Amino acid sequence: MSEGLDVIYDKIYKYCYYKMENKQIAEDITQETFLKYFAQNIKIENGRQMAYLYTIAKNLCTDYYRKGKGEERRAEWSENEEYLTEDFSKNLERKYVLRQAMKNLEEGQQEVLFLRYVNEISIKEIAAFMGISRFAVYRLEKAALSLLQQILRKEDFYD
Amino acid sequence: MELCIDRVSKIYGNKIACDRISLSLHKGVYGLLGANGAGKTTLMRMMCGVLCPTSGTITFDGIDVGKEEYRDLLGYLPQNFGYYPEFCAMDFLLYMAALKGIPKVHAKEKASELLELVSLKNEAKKKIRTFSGGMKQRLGIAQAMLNNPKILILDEPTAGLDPKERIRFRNLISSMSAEKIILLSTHIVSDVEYIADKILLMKAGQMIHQGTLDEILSVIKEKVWECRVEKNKADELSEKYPILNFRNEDEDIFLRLVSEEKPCEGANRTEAVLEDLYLYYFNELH
Amino acid sequence: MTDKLKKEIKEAFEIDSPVGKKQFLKDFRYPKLNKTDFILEQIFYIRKKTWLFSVLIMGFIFWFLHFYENSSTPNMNLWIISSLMPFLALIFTVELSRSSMFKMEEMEAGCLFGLSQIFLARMLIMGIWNGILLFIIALTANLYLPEGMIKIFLYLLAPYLLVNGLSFYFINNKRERGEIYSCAAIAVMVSICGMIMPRFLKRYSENIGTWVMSVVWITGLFMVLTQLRKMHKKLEEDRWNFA
Repeated sequence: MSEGLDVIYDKIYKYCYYKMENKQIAEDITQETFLKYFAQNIKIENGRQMAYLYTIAKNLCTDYYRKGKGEERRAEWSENEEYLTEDFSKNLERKYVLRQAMKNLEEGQQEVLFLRYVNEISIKEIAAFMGISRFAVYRLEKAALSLLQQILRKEDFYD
Repeated sequence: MELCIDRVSKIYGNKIACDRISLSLHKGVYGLLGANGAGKTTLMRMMCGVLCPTSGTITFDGIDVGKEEYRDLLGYLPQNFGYYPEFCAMDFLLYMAALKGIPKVHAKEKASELLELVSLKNEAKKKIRTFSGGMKQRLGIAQAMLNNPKILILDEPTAGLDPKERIRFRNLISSMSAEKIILLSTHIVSDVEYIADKILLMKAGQMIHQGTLDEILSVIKEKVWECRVEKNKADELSEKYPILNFRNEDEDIFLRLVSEEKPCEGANRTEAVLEDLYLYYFNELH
Repeated sequence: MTDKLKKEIKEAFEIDSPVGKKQFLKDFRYPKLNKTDFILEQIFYIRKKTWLFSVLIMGFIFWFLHFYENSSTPNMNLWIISSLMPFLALIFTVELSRSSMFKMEEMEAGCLFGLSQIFLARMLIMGIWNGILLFIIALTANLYLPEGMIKIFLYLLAPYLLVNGLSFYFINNKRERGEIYSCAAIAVMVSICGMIMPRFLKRYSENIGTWVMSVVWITGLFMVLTQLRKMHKKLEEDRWNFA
C-alpha cells in the first residue's frame, strides 16, 4: 500500500464531502465505507481495490439521497456549509466560482476532474472505478477540462 | 461490555491458588493488588485463556475465554516473558502482530505508532537483547496493545520501570482507558491509587475487597492513628493493634496503627490512604 | 494554463481534516488474517539458521556420496547417510520448541492464533521442508548406491522418525526447560548407534540390517503419531501448563 490509511481516509472524506456537502454526513459515510470495505477485504494495496473503495463510497452517497428527499434535502443540509479551511488568505471567491463552474459539467466529467486533480488518483484506478477503458478516461478528462475552461472564460475567471 | 468471572477456582494439588472468585468488570481501569503469591498471576492467566480454571467460567459479553474470538479482543502482558534473541524491537512487534492476525500492511503502521507511544521509536531497529529491563517492559506493553484490545490485562506492568517511566506509564493507561477494560496487577500501591477506577484486593487466593478507592478505604476510615510513644509502650500497642508503619525517632518510636478508638494518650487520627489498607492486609508485621 | 487550472481545482476542494478521523482509525479493528495466510507468514519467522543447517547436512551427504567408494561392509555408505538423519530431526525439534526455549509461550498463547496454531504452523512448514530434503537426498543417493529406492527410504526415515518420536516424548513430558538437551543427546546417541551397527551386524546375515531398520521405522512412526496426538490434545484442551 503506497498510502497510509489516514491519507486514504482524508481522500474518501473529501470525495464524500464533494458529493454531500455536509461534514457530518460525509464523515459518517467515510467511516461506513471503511467498515464495509474491510468486512470483505484485508488490505488496500492496488488500484482495483482502491476503485472498489470509491465504488462503495459512491453507492453509500447515492443511497443516502434515496433515503432522504433528494435534492431539496441536500439544499437544506448544505445551507450553512461551505468549503472553509483554516487558510482564509486564498482567494475564496475564485474558489467558489470554480466549484460552481464544475457543477455545470456532467457527473462523469465532474468525477474525473475531481478524482484526477483533487484526490490525485491514477487513470488506471479511475478506469477501474468507472468501469471504462483507460483511453476513455483520458478522453473524458480532456473533454471535461476544455469544457470547464470554456465555462470559466464566460465567467471572466481569467481576467 | 462486561467481563464476567463466575466462581473461578484453580487448584494445584492441594494448594488453592484461586478460590471461587467472582467478578464483573466493565470498562475502566482495575487495579489488582495483593502480596506475592496471593494468586494474582494465576487469576490473570485464567482470564487470558492461557490457563484452564479447575472450575468456573470466564466470559466476555457471552464469549468464552477459550474461544479465538475472545483472544482477538485480548491484549496480554505476562509477568515474565522472553524474546527471540535475533529480533529487534520492530521485528518483535511485527511477529506478535502476525500472531494476532494483523496483516503486515497494517501491522507496520500500528507498530511504529506504538513504538512512538512507548518512546522506543529510536530503538526500533536495535536488538532486544541490548535493551534495559524498563525498555523491554515498555515493548511488552506495546505488544499488548497491537490489536486494539477491548480487554487489556497487564501483569506487573511497572516492574523494572524507573520512576519517570512509571509516571509515563500511568499517563498512558489513563489516556486509553475509554472503551476498554484494563486490569493491571501490582504490589506497588502508588501505581494504581490514582489511575484505577476500581481496586481489587486479593489475599491467599480470595478476593477480599473490591470497589472504588473510597469504598474500600471505608474499612479503615477514621481508624488510622499516629502517635509517638516510648519503646515499652510501643511493644504493648503492637500486641493490641495492627501496626501500619513505624520508625525510630530519638528515644521514642513513631507508630501508625489501626484502631477503633483512640489507642493511647497523644494519638492523632489521620486520613487513611490506600497504602494503609494494603499494609493492614499484607503487612508482615502482624 | 491548464496546469494552473488543475492546481486551482485541487485547492478549490481543499477542506480541513475530518474531526472523527483520529479516533476512528485508532479504534478501527482491522480484519484478521485467515489461517492459511497466517501459516504462510510464519515461513518468514523460521530462523535462517534452521534453513542453513539443514541445507548443510544435505550438502555434506552429497559430498560424501560423491567422494566415497562403496566399502566392503554391506550397506555401509547407506548406514552412514542414515546416521546423519538424526541431526535433521534435531533441527526440526529445536525449531518446534523455540517458544519454550525463549520463554515466549505465555505471550504467544494469549494471541488470536494461540500456541497450538503456532506449533501447527511450524510443524507444517518444517515437516514439508524436511520432506522435500529427504526426497532430494533419497533421489541423489539412489544414483550412487546400489540398494534401491525402497531400502534407501527405509534407512533414511527410520532414524529420523525414531529421533523425532523420542524428542516429542521429551517435549510432552518435560519437567523443566531443559528438554532440548535431552533431544540433542538422543540425536547423538542414535547417530552413533547407526555408525556402529553395521560393524556389529556384519557377523550375522546380510539382511539383518534391513530388519533392524524396519523395526526402528515402525517404532519411530508409532511414537511420532502417538506423541503428536498427545501434544495436540495437550495444546487444545488443557492449554499450556505453566505451573
